[in-house]
Amino acid sequence: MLLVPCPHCGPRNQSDLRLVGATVPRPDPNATTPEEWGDYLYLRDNPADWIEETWYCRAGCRRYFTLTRHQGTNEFRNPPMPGDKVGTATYTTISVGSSGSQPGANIEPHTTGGAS
Amino acid sequence: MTERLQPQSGEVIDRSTPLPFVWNGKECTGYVGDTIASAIMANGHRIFARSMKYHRPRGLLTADFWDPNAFVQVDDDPNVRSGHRLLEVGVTVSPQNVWPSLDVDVKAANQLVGRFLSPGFYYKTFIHPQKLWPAYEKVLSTFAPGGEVDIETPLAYHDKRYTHPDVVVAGGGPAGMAAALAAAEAGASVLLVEHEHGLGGHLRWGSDEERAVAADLEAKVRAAGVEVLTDSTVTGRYEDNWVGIVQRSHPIAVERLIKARAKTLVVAAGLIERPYVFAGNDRPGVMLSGAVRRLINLYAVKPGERAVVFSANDSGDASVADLERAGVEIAAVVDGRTTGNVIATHGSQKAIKSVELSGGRTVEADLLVTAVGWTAPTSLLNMAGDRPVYDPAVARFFPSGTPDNVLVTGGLAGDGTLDQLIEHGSATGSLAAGRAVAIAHRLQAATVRAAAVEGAEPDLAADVRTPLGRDPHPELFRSTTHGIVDYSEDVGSKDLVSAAKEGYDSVELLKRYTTATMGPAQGKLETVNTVAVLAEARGETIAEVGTTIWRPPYAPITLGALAGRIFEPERVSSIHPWHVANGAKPILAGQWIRPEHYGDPAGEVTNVRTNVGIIDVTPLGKLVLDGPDVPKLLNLLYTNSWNKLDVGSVRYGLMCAEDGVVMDDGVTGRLSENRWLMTTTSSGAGSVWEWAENWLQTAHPDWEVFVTPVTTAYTSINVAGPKSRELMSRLTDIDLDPDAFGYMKVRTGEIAGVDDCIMWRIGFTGELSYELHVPAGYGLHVWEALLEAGADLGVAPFGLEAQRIMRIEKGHFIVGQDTDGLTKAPTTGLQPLIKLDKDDFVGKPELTWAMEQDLPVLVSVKMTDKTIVPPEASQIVRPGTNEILGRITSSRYSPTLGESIGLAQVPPELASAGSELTVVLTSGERTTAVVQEHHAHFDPEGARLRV
Repeated sequence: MLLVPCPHCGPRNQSDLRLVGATVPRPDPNATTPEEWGDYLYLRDNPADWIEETWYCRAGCRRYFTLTRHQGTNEFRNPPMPGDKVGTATYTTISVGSSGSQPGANIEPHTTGGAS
Repeated sequence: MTERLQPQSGEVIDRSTPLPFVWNGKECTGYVGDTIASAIMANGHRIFARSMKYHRPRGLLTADFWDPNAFVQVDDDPNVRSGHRLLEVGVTVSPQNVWPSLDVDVKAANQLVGRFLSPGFYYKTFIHPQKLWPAYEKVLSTFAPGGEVDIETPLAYHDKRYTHPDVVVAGGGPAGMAAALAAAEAGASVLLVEHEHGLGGHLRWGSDEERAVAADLEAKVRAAGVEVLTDSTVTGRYEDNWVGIVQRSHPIAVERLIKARAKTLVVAAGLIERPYVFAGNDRPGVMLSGAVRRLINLYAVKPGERAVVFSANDSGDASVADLERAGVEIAAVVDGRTTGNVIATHGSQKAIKSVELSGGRTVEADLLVTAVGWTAPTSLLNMAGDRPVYDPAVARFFPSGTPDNVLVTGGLAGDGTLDQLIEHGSATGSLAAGRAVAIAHRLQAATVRAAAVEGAEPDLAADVRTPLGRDPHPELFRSTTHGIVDYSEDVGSKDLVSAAKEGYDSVELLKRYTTATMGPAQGKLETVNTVAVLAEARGETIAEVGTTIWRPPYAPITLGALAGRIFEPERVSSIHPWHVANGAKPILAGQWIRPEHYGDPAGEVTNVRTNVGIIDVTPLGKLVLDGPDVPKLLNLLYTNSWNKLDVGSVRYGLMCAEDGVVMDDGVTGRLSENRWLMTTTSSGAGSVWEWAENWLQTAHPDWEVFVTPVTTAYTSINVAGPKSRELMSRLTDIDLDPDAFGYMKVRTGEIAGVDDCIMWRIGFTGELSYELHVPAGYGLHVWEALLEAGADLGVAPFGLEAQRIMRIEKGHFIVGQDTDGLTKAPTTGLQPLIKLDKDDFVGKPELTWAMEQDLPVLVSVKMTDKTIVPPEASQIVRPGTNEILGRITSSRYSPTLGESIGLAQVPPELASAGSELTVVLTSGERTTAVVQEHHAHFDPEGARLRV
């Protein structure tokens, strides 16, 4: 069972949260096509790479938030929350080698575009 | 004949407490501390079971948890590992897999036809003709191994526990104890888990000096505050060091499953002794060196009279000394480190008479002890992603690399003197504690708004341990003859070779085809030999063949422990005590216990239609919505429009998901400018709340709306019937005049002396009705006040069943009953509520297209034969065929109409009034139903509810 870094509640068991799913943009409801809408509803990429996903802390703060997770290693990065001071809260890598490989060894750092 | 020795200095039995028990119908006596197996051996019995396939007599091989030959039935408990389970007073122990008896087994004839029981025998032989399989199965099932389950056995108590130690140590041998001690001394909270009944590992059956070292370590471990669990096994390691532990030693629970979240896991599982493959290696009297050492030193049991010892290591050499001290005559010691070898045992089926050695020598003996090497039980490391590597010089597998939060020590890591093992364990414990601090800091720091951690993150301590050495060991797997490889599955080396020749020459395929390593021992004894035999057959090395991957659980867990205590909450309203006292028949609806009826559901319907009835509808989901942007939220969540709902009015809303499928419905009322009360279906109370929050938090964080769930803060009562206005007028000052308080309006005020009540006029039953939401603490009071005030009006409670009948009479659908996971909104017939001219709402594109599609239609139906009420979900078919066209979604007999009525989903061509439907009943018979013009069978104009 994964340990999920809830930004408010701290590290929590996966069962305390609900994985809403990969964070995908919603097409314009007035201009979309059936193909595009079908992709939005049903089709997700499944890369062995970092993805953004939405979690809901149902047994704790009851907040929805976005985490990035590496689907190969289950390593999490915690991007800044809305309202956090941009440029200070850079991502943190929190999983401790859960599968024995080198987690994210060849992944580019994920910066938050700080002003400086 | 007793085989009990004089007291041994390290024995764990208490001779002052004899325990009578029965084995195989014979009165026996053991002692407190005996395992069932040691007690049976002490009473002079050497045959424990018959093997699974060939029904060959079997005796003890390892005399511990993993003994493949010692499964017994203890009273009503089947498949007990007698090498591990402690003896209890008065138990009746029976052999398994024997018919008619342990001594005479007719199924042993299987071994005479053994050549037919080659790998895949059952598949190959019985696959044709398929129609005979049930007959084959019946016969074959009597051959299946295992004990007998007594279905009358009362349910036993099982439990679960959650714990969050800094360090979990798996294995309480010298290295594991030293690791636990060092970690605790460094300030970590430590859980030490030992599979055996006591700490010490192999020192338990060692010399006086070794046991003294173990006792000293154990005393220090306990003094350091380490939590010690014995007779417990770490069964699995999952993501982020989620560690499963099965505790068999709990004082109350039969088994307890412990779920531990460890910062670091130390694996000190030790080594498991490996059997040797040769002809007759499963004859009773063939034992591993560890088995005889345990029998003699822990239980003071003499394992035989005259022994041949085949030794390639210290454990074998030590067993010679133990045997001599126990008075066993040593007929020969064969050194596996030189050219000595064991070729075969000879004798009867039940005992060894002689042992054939290399060089043509045959020695008379009744006991053959082998010490040919070790299996590294790397299971937990496999689960952490490690793929162990074979070292031919040491004849075992070693870890190749584990994640930072999993550390290895003890025999799994290498060899050394006792001091070296303890030193390595100690260094591992310190490292584990240091890493736990860094990991804890990192985990907490990553959660940006949770409690802050002070200071910079400590470095993840580097591994600077002095590695343990590796003692050379000869590769001894199979002799020049063939024998059993997997004792519990009765798979021999010949079977493996022939399977490899058939093409099953990958280790994972070979395993599944022959079932080697798939029995109760789960590879602990036989994996390496299986791989070695396959390597030999392929003409390759063990490293080239590779090994199978061990998966959880390391040791078996009962289903009871996995289920644990049942924590299924039951919810009741504040009126529940009244329902119980007044004879309500309870029904479980979701998590709620609700009154189904109070004795006469049809009478309850009639009373509502003629007088007035009250129903407890507390489970109805209720959300208070506050804020200026509530209309925006409602416009988004519901398909209909909410721009112009005045204060004091309520409106029905239909809620769809993004795929256009109906997910909920309910009534929402505007209580004041910026305060609204939304109701949802009972089952949707939680999910609609989360749904609303999802849209507010992720898509529209700028909207000013607060959502507060109040489902249980209010007790909800529906007062329904032509006399409901009269009844309410006796309990409230709210103006009930139809002009002042019309249909689909809401008022707040005092009811029966209770402030802050909400009351709205809606009509699920089709009658004039008021739905009351009163503060939950006063729910029972208001309920009783209604009954008292309306006694002369004929007020009576009604239950869910009467409500169901009335809503079918009115043609109201229920989400999830009359709709399913594919039902898009237009099917419900509520097209006017789908406002495609709104800028946006959930599911808008899908519903735009759905309006143009030929979707199924929800219709009201009347059965032609009013005496037949087809069960809900009865299929509607094309007449004269079995082609399914639709189904009856709800059905009841209507006491109001004297008709059998229902709702159905049908294709558009059958949806017009007067269409005849063919309905298949459970019996297979067919009946007909006729589609009605309106959804409502009763009062289609709605005159009764608008009065």
